[in-house]
Amino acid sequence: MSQAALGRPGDTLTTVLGSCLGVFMYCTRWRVSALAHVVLPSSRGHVPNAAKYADTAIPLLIQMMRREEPQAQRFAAKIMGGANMFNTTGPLQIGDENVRAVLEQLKQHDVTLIAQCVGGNKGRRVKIDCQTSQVLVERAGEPANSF
Amino acid sequence: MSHVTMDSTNRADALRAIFGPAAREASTAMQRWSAGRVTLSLDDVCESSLDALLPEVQMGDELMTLIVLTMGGELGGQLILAFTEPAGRQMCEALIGVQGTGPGWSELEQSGLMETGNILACAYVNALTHSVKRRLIPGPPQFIEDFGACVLEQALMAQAMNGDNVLVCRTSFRYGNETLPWSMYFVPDAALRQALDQAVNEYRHS
Repeated sequence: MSQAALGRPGDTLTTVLGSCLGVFMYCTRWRVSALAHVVLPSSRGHVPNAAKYADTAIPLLIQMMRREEPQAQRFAAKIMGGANMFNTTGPLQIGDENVRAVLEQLKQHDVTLIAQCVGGNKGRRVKIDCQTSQVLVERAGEPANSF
Repeated sequence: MSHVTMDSTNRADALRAIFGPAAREASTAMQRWSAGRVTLSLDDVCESSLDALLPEVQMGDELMTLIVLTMGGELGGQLILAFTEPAGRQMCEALIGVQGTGPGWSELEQSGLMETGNILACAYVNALTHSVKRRLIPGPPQFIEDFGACVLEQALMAQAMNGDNVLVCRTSFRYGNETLPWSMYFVPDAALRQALDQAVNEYRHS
């Protein structure tokens, strides 16, 4: 939770997601990628852990990839998670808020959204092949989904 | 440096003094419910950063069966009973004499497990109410089959909104001398965490 990791060709990144959002960003041309496990939509100025918040995680991922491969540009993204595990009702749905905030940040940073597997009330176990940028999502009681 | 170490040790002792009676009450209730066969003991009160917590409380990404009770009232949190499917079936057989036959959980099995959650939560929360001197009310149990870490992650949200350091209390189960692959996690919300901090301070000055 609230971590970010860089992916190189040959790496496999894994995470499990409930209401948190997994943001996988990559640059196909320069073969560099990174994943953040976003917990909350907004840092509200609190930034000791940039991967934790949507508004700080997206710039962080871009920075990490550019540090690894300075020529990297035109980033793409796949996002997954943002569930409501306890089926709660009420105005604050943290999963939905995380999705909304990440989509807004991707737009602001000109990152193309390629695929999303978000919402619902089941958790997700995610495995990412950094060679192909393929994401495998498993949900309890359902067949695995790859995109 | 030694002062910091002593301080954190005192805090850990105080937290164990608060959660210990809750685990003992739950154990007494569980012994009654299981005709003396199953007992509980406080394993760990873990205070940690979000990124380090899940391995520390030994909650992995395996598929689990979970009973979740969300606290209502002025203070909140979640009590989560987590076990593997075979362990849950073994418990059902021992507690209510029901042997599962199909691939999924029967209504009777689900009901038996949710009742177990209810019994444990009431005893645990009653004891905790005495320690924090504030009223805690367990809500109805929810039966969930999912990846354990995903459920704990959602329960931690209320604390994550207030900071990077989170608190989880873990209780383990024994059947006679055998440790059962069952765990009970108590995850306070931010308001209850504040009340716990106050109780810790009172313990230190008592």
